Amino acid sequence: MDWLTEPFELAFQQRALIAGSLAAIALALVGTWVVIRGMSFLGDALVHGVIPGIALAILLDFNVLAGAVLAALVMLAGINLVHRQTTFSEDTGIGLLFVGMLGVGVIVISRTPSYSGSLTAILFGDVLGATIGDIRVLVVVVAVILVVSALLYRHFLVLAFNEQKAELFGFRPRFAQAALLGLITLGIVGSFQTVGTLLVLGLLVGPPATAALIVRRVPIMMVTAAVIGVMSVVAGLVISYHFDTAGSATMAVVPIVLFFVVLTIKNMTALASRPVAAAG
Amino acid sequence: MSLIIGSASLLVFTACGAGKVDGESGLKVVVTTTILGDVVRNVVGADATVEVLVPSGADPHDYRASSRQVAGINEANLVVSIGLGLEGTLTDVLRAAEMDGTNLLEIGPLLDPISLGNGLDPHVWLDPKRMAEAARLIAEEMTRIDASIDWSSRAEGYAIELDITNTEIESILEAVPRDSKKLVTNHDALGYFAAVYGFEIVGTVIPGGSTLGAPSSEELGQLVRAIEEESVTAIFAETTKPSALAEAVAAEVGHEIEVVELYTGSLGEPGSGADTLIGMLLANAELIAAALG
Repeated sequence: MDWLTEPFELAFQQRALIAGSLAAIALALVGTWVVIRGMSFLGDALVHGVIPGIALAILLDFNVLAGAVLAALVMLAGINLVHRQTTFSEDTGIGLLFVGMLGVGVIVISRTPSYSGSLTAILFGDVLGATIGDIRVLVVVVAVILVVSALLYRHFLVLAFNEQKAELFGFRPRFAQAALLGLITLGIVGSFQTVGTLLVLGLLVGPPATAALIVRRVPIMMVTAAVIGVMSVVAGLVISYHFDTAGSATMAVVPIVLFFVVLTIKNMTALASRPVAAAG
Repeated sequence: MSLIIGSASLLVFTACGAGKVDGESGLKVVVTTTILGDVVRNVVGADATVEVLVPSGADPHDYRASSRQVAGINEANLVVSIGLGLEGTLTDVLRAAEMDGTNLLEIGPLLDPISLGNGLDPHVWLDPKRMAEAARLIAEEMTRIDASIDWSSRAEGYAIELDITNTEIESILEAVPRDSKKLVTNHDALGYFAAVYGFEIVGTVIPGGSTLGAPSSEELGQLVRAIEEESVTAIFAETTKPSALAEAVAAEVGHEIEVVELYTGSLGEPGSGADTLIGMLLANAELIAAALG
């Protein structure tokens, strides 16, 4: 058991565990909708699209989180504009805004006269450096996501499975869509400064996708994804400790590997059960 | 010069990175870069183990630690970093360890750093006199931790070596005529060198301090014109970063100009002659003198 408890003896390891687990729960809740609605590319774009906002915040010395939210809003408005005024599919708009925002970010950073090292290192944290203050922010993020998800659950469900008929049923899909995007933005922005970009993307898509392989109902999918996410954080920390691998990156790789393991097992059991079913 | 490099390379490099072999006293110092590792080893000798976080050749801005390494940071008697933004994300990890009670010495801010844009320049190790002061500060910190060992006289010895190195660099650079003392660099790494040895920085290929900054084509055009006006004969790049843009600028300039790679961010490989701070400073001075002399 020492092998499992030793990586959690020190204070920083416990903070990494708590911060990582909170991020895993927040991202499992919003990530389930991301996977069901096929919005992974948007999630990736959001993480990078907030860079100009953060760069501006650093340059003009205002709150970094506010800068990130501002950039996310600009980006979502742009994507929405492309989607509504052209016949292109949504990913074209996402691609345009992704590159545009990232480019603006590099332009702003190139104009920053002070020594700032590499951009990503400044903008995105490492879960091994999480502080108590970071954990407080994550607790608030998880609470808001839980409450809004519960209140708007039926709206999101209709949006996910029957967007065309949503209005007939008396739902407002535009409102639901905006609320969902807001929650996804909150989950991403609220956790990436603490746990790093890689871990956010890994936890946003990996655990919900794995959960979607094994369960069907959305609430169970969310719980399963959250459990997988937390387990990934635990496993990532244990591996990082014993095998001396980069912390956040290891935690990000674990849920992706798990996805392929589950997929393989599922395919093998399906193959194995076929002749049995035929015989029965 | 060869004598100093020879004596420096005789120093035993104890358990770099492994951190398992303890010194006799069981004291452990963790440092961020290979260059700091060399300085600390010269101060602690065999009386403490030294563990370097960022491996040779890697960029400290982008480095991500493992959980085991951070555990090592928490268990160290002393952690020495440059600070001033050099260590990027690692800074968060170091500060968090400090809040947990780890003894962190950010050496850069204590060495009278020069300004760079609207911040401070972290490349303090390119000035031997500042590093002599750094050795003394590290010795003071070690004395606070364990006063039974005489850290100060070893630091003083190393400071004298660095002083001699400084004199040697000055004599090497005498080969450079006064009106050729102009530097064009790949990124803002040579501020201390220029300030200490009376060079003027004519231009920098990568703007804005950040390694991710990218120049505009007008900026590159201006740089080419400045190089031609001042008849600069070399652009100084670094061994740890690609120099494609520097090569492009060199190709654009009308006269003969070479791109010279200096050791700026990390020590050279063992056997390169630049595998110690002193060796690296002398190697850089020789390269600069050869290119501009």
